[in-house]
Amino acid sequence: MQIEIRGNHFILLTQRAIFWEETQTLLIGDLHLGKITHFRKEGIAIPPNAIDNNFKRLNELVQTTGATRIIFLGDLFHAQYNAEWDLFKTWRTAHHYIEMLIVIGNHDILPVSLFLEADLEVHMNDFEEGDFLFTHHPKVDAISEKFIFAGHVHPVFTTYGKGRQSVRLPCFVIDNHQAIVPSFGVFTGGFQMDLAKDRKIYITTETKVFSVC
Amino acid sequence: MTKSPGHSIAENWFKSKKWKWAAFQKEAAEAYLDGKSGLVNAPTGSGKTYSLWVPILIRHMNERSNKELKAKRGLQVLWITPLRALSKDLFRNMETAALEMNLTWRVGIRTGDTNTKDRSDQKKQMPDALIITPESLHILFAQKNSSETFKNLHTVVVDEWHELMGSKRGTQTELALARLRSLKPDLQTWGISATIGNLEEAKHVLLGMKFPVSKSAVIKANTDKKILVESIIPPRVETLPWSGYMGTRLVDQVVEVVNQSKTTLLFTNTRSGTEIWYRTIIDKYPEFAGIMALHHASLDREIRDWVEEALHDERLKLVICTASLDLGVDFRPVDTVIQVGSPKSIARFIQRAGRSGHRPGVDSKIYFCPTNALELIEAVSLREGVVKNMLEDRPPIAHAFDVLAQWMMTLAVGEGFDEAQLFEEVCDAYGYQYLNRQEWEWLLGYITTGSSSLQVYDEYKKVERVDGIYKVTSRRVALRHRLSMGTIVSETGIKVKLQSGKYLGTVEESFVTWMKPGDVFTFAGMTVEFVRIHEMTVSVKKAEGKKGFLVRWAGGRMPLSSQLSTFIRERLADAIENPHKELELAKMRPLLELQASRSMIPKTDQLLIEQCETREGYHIFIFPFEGRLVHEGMSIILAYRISKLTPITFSVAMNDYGFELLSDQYVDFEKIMNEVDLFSTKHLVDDIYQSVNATEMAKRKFREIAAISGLMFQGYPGKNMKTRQLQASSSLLFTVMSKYEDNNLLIKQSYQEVLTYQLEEVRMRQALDRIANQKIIVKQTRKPTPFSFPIMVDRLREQLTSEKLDDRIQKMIKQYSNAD
Repeated sequence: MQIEIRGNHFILLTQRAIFWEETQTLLIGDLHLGKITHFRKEGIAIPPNAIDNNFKRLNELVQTTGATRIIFLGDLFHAQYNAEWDLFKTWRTAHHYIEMLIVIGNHDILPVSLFLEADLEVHMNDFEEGDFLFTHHPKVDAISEKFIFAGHVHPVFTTYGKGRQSVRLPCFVIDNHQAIVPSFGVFTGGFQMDLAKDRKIYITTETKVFSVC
Repeated sequence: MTKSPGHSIAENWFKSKKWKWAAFQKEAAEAYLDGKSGLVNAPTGSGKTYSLWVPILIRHMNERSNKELKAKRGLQVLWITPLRALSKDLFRNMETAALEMNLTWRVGIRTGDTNTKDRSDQKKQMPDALIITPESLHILFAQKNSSETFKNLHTVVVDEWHELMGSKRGTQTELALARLRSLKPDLQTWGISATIGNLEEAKHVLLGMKFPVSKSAVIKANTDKKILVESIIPPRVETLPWSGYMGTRLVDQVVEVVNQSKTTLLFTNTRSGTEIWYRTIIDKYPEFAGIMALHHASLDREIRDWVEEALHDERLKLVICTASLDLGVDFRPVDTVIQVGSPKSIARFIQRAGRSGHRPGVDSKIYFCPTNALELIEAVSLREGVVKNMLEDRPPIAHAFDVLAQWMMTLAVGEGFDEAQLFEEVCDAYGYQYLNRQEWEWLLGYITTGSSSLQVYDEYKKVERVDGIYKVTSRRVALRHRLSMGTIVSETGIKVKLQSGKYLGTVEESFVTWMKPGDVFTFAGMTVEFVRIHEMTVSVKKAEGKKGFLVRWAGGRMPLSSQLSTFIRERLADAIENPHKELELAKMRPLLELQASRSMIPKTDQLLIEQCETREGYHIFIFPFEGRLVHEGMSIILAYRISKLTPITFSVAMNDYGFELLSDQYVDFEKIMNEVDLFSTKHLVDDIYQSVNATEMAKRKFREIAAISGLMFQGYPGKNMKTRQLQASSSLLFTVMSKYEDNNLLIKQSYQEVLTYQLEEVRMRQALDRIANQKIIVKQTRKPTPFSFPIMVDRLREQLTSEKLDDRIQKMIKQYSNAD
């Protein structure tokens, strides 16, 4: 599904990411890499092969969009350093031709040097480009003139139908000044979003993105 | 019985107390002193404790007088009780008896309430007899010297075994008993149980698989106490609503009954129910202030203790309670019991009735207060059940891998275990008799490598294998396990505290999240104002005179038991023909006539189906009268089988009498029934698993399993922040584990629990077989009927669909925009 913001074109993808056509950039939020290994280190037996799925979907995205740049909207890595970081570095090296940026999220407690070492451009707070601002925490008051892209929330939305039906799915939340992307990681939960004035919600299944309103 | 020295002392003791050594107590003493194990079946207040405690003392006295059998010191007797509240009373009775027989026996208590000093004293020197909960017993096994602790143990008594057996705490007890039997092969094990349908099985579960039947006994107390059942009936039946489950419209009649009695217990089925009743009575009858109290599981321990003590001391006229007072010590002043709403099972009803009239020769009387008009039929059914003494079974839990995983960890934290030996030991427990090597190895993998394979080498850390012994070496892992042991999994409780500092109890997180300062709610019988929330504690202040929200707690709704539903089907079919047989039926007549005119009242060889259309869509109501769990299962099966014929989505609702399939499309039910056998038992389990709901239900079951098996860590006491990086909801764990690991036993267990406990598979098969021989009658109705209305207004709904997700969303979005 394609939407237009400030004259630019953005594709909302079923892999739970946004592709910015004008700059060939993927916007990805809340991967929470390292979370599974972190849990396992603490004796909580999450199946280790779930880790591969994040990378499988990343590969899919890179191949289908042909992106030349990725902006990670924070919470790339969930915990202190563990072996999953090395997997990420391997993946990064295999995609050395793609420019990658990160705006730091609350879970990104790794030393900045590790991000730099993995050839990521690090932005401690926000990253601005043209009319747009990329950050981790959504901004409550739109102080800036710029349109904001954020993560952090892990938004999901429940749709209702006749016969008292309902379905809960990850969603993109687009307000007048801000867009929130769904969380990308396999092992992440969700936060229920509500409809609001001037807000558009797009829910996504594994095959299709729908505009709710 | 030849009189041993101890026997004579005991006899004199009974005489000095002016008590009769009852026949069943003598019988139990004989069996015990004969070296047997088994079960004593006796109600509360009958002297069941002495039936075993006295012979234990006789044995001790005889061994003391026999020089060759010099009595040993240290822990000799374990007395397992399900309730901490019972332990004090038990302690008093046991210690007094020992003292009065001039014995210097030490009796101790070990529960979650035992303070650190007593614990460390016990570590140095165990008392001769220890009263303990299943949880605390497991904690003894998590200590490094556990086999030393149990060195001189010769007897274990499990109190209220019927109550423990059907729960995972029962499984916990089974595992501990299996271990104790392996440490002490001569161990004598006795259970004390109220009457249940499956007493023989209860004995088997208690004693394990290998125990020789010839060395066991079931001893029954002869009780011929009569139970009288009386309904509280409004002058006009129209006063009763068609649906509803609070019953407060009958408050005047209820208070009348209370006023005629000395002390009354009023049982409701939910915690919110007690709060509503308390409020209703105090508003209308302010004179009850100070002589009425509340008792439910979410109230602070101190408040509950106070209520129980006040009950003993005859300071209270009325206590409004939930199942929290089902068990426990006798409250002698209680002479009246009122049950509000369906008790769902005859055994529970009798148990509650038994809380009154403890004096010998006095009949127990229980009042039934219906909460809706149809429940009057339950009154007559309950009465019939009581007269015929048709008691329900308590089925034991089988294959609880979560409890077993926790037990393996517990032993690994303690002395460590040899896996082959432990495997054999565990298989001796009734609940694990069918455990196979493959499952066992998965569990070993789960606690050592965190996967089904024993050869994954990553940073997973839990149990290690050192010299063939599985043990935990990390102190952090051990501490964390000790903090998360147990099988009772509660919602994340938020404490409620008055600003003065007094704790009132707990509410659920979901209740607090939408509260603002200034909001008023009713809790612990008080109206309080929300001040602030800080670190899992809500501060409140009293706000008398204001109206407030009602606190709600999530809690499973009990299903109608199979025994009770059989009676209901029969009484209903009979009601139209013999309306004057009982008062309740005569009262119900107008309602039943309305049902008959709008639709019909099914005979026992008929199955009624009603269809009607409302603004909400197309309704199908089916009335098997089999209890809500079976109906849940049937609704899934039917919805799935219909949806295989055509893409359709149903939302389903059910109560104890029937269930509803609601859809946005009309279903020609009669035509479909000619094409497929909707009620067939063929492919039953497959059809359930195929439906989307099975996954949703399993996900919910998984919450408890994840917590018991150690996947969810609640955090160190007072250190919530430290574990923040370790929070994951059980539904997320479920999704990831079922997607990325084949044959995960814990996932499998959650499906199995859905099948066995949630949908009562066995009972559902019986019901489907019965339906196969019934005539199915489909009625098109223009209006909802007395039968269908209560289901229709139920907001708790499940969904079933065979439409593609993408198509459904398209449709919903379209319907949504049409509505604008």
